[in-house]
Amino acid sequence: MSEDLGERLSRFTPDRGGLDRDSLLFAAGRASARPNRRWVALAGLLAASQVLTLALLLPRPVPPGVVPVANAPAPAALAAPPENPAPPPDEALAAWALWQRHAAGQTELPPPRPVASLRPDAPPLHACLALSEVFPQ
Amino acid sequence: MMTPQDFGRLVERHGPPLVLYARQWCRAPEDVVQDAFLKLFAQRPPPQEVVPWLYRVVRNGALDAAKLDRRRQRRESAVARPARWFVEPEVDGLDADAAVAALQRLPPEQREVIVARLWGGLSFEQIAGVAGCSASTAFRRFSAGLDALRRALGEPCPKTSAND
Repeated sequence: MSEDLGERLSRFTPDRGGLDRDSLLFAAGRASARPNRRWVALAGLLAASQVLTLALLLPRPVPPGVVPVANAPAPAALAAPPENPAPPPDEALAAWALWQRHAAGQTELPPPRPVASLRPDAPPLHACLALSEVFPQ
Repeated sequence: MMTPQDFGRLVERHGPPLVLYARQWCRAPEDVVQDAFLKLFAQRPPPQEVVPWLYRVVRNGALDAAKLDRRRQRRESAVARPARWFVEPEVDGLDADAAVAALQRLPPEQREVIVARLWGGLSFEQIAGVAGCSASTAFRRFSAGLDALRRALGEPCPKTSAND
């Protein structure tokens, strides 16, 4: 009969209380996840490269006696061009009459005269200069 | 490697008996059982015998929790809500409240063996490994506990009824 009592007692279902299978599975999955530190290493690498770049680009102290001036064109080349003097009134009238005759097909235009007062070509400008031009050794 | 499906089935099958087992010692058995399952999931490599391992971990956790419970019990005993041990109020003429009262009156070592055997399905050898005794001692405790339950519940003695 003791065995019978044991069997009858074992038919009672133990109450699970607050034990929740789903929350337990969730907690187990979260606890088993390995921390991924790759992004930390990547962020550190990027930060280090940023610092290195800033260190290279920061202006260095200039030694005394050296004027940090970039290679500029000669002042003469940058001088203001001389004023183009207006032609005298009779020259203008003669040019107008020549144009009228050319338009009427009576004559040909003379070849242009060379102009001596034009400004010479300046070296082309660049958006980015070489580091050696910014920081002369 | 334990899959989530295996883990879910293990929780379904052994979770409630483990809660009942831990309830012998502490007042928050669900927390102890949950911790044991989480430890099992993180165990590398997994134990050879999962169920006895769970009972052992739950037992240790429940004993630790019992120490903390004793400090709080004095303050909270007045407002404590009675915990339900079983789902059914009555089975085969046995009243659940009477069964719980009889179980609570058992000595802890007998109650532990009876819960692990009847609801946990552990063998006496496995119970011996969990409780730290021999298998014969576990069997003696089980028999003595069942006799005490029979007397408490007013069940007839098997020898007496056999003689009748």
